[in-house]
Amino acid sequence: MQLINFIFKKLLILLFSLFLVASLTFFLLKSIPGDPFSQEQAVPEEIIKSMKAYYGLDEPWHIQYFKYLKGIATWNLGPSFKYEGRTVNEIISEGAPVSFILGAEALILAIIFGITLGSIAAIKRCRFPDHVCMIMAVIGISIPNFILATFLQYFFSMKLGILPVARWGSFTQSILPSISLSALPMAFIARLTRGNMVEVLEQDYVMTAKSKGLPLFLIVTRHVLKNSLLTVVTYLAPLCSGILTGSFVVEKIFGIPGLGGWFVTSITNRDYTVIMGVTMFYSSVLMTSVFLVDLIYYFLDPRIKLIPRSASHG
Amino acid sequence: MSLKSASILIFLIFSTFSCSRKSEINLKQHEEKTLLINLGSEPPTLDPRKISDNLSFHVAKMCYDGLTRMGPSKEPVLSLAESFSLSEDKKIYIFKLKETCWSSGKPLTSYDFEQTWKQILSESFASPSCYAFYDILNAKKAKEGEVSHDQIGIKALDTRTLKIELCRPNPYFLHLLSTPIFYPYPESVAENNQHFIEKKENSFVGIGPFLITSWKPQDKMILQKNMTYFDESEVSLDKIEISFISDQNTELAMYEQGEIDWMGSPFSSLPSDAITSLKQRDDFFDAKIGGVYYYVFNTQKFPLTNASIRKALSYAINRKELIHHIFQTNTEPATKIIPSILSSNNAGYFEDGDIKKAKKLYEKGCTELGINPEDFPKITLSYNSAPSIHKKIAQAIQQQWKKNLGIQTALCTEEWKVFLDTLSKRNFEAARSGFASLTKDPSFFLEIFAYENAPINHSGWYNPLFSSYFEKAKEASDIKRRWDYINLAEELLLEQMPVAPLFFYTNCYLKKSYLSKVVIDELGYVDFKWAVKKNKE
Repeated sequence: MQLINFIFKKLLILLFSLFLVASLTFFLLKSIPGDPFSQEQAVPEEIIKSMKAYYGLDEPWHIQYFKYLKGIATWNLGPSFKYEGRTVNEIISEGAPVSFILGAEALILAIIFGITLGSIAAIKRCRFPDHVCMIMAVIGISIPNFILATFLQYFFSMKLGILPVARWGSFTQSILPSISLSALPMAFIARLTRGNMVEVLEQDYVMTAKSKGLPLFLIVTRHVLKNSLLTVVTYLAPLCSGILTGSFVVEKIFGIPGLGGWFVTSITNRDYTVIMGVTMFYSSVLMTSVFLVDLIYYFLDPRIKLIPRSASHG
Repeated sequence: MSLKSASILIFLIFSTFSCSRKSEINLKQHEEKTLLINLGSEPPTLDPRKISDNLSFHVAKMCYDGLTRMGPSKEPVLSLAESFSLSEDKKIYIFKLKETCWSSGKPLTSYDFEQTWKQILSESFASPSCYAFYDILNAKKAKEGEVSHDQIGIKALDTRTLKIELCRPNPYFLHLLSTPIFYPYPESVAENNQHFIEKKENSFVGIGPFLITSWKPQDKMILQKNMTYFDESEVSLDKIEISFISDQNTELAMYEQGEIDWMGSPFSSLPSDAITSLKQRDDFFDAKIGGVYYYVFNTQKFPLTNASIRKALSYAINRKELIHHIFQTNTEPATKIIPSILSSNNAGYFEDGDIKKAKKLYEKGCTELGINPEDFPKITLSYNSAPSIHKKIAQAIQQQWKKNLGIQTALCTEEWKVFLDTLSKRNFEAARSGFASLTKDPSFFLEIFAYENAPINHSGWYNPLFSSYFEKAKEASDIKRRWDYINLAEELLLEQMPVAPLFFYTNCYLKKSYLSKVVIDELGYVDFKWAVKKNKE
């Protein structure tokens, strides 16, 4: 019952936050100068007028606002102003799966290697393997992904010729972008894991397990990891939403038809419907993943109470 | 150093190490007749009636055709039209159409043209380039809703005869007809293609040398040769594959690997930091195009209200030096407005970097304004943030004005659409701008300044004499008189200097040696209709 109550409350907050994001985006967009139809070779007044009428931009703002909220509620986000015959729904449903696959690959890489490296470093603390792992992590954090991407592209595609330069469609085309995308989160996860695990390894119950004569592998996988991963899970929520909805830079460098590019190009084009659509999509994914993380917490660590303290006392 | 230039630098460092490994790619059999190109972004529309951008323009050229088309000799040749006659007063064109059909099998008729054009000119139709029609009788009035559609000078006399009546003679009318905005695109075709784009059903209908067979947004567009095209025997390519990579370094890497056959203008641009090394190569080309880059002065803002001051500022810029430091290509400095490739008169109207004269004019201007040269206000130079070349140009001008006239300037960078807003609201003192023409007609370059309140006239400058020269040029029935008035108007313009011209645009691109017979007209528009891709063996 407590769990259901908790879920219900969280969902309400989630919906309200989405409404806030939608409204803020709308008013921010209305306040920035420029419109979708302005271009360098200025267009005569009467033509601008007919184009604005066609897209409903000549209506008073409150009508536009309600139409837009209604569109979001029914998830009918309207046509793109810039790209003829394309709807925002289409742009999202075409771009999101691509970004999602790429992001998932990167995420798997980051989690597997990040946790492994972090664990090795923690177990062999202050010894050679620790130094190697942490140097790798520092490199991962400090090299921006566009440099890593350019380097990988140059080395594996241009120099060795074993992987394609860019484009999307086959597994080989996804290798380089997912590596470039995973470097930073991998390094971050490795550091988080190491930090926590070093602490956990000194806990009494680990000592007990050790003195029982359990093999190290079992101690780590059964007892230590679970308790060291809480912070990693917290980090995973924003990471997931960020990485799964697409990275502008990596997608641009590898020419991947994902969603990432739209976050930037739609603003440059003042393509209002697309900006609002992708923003809403991103915030929904972000908030859903935060919500899921809250739930995962509950199962990972029963000490965390879901309901406010005052209620639990009562 | 920005992120982008950092990555370009890294790329360049690596590529210089590997220069020895020149890509000598032998085309595979199936690639031989497939052209591979890349567009920097997606074409915003496939509807020729609504085109206002370069990329859509080029895709439209592949899949549609007009009454005329720019031919290999850089002159318009008849395309969908079989013949035409022109009346004595050069105002009435009568075109006879070829017997040909759309790829759907439906025959092309002159009604298709009439319907398309009248639709563009209807009040409610959103078409950003429809001003190109305004030489046609009553076209402008119809767009403004003043006259009915029957009074527009466009009439299909029978299924294959089309009569066009102009309100004044236009010696460039056949050029104009070759631009995609004049292509036939009747509602039935428009609906069908809309369906093709939106629902991915139906097949695409066109009337050009190629037809789109598939389009995966942001990923790939594939065009196949149109077997029903009237000039099918002249088309050598079987297929065109278009990718949409926006990253210039990736595009360059793909070009080096032979994954694309063309890199750079007009489809994308070469990384500006790489031009120095690229221009040494055999596959590098540059071509002058009909466009001018200038700084526009807000003539309604003190002290730029004074013509001597504006002239002083313009004369004090050393264009050759600026070009040498920034472009390293053979970009042509501009001391006039109409690009020399479109002009009858190649000489400029003043000397580039004439500092002596600039100083004199500056002092004269200050006296006229009644201010002390030491109290001369700071001038702000506005420009848009991307591409970074605009910033370099503004910095160079800032330095030259300081050195040559002792004037202080501030730089103001703005995001593109914000910048457009600044321009249209005349919220600037001096701002980067430019103009590239849709057709060869030089009068478009002067039209910018002909009307005081035209949205494109950012300078706010208006001169009745100039406007009367402009009108007389437009009305002139013989080309020599037309040129006389155009030259008079241009001279007056540069005497008043509401804009300081800097240089004429140049297209830079890399093209594989196995690609030939690509037609590039004087305005830099590329046509692959006649292109041939072959191994040299």
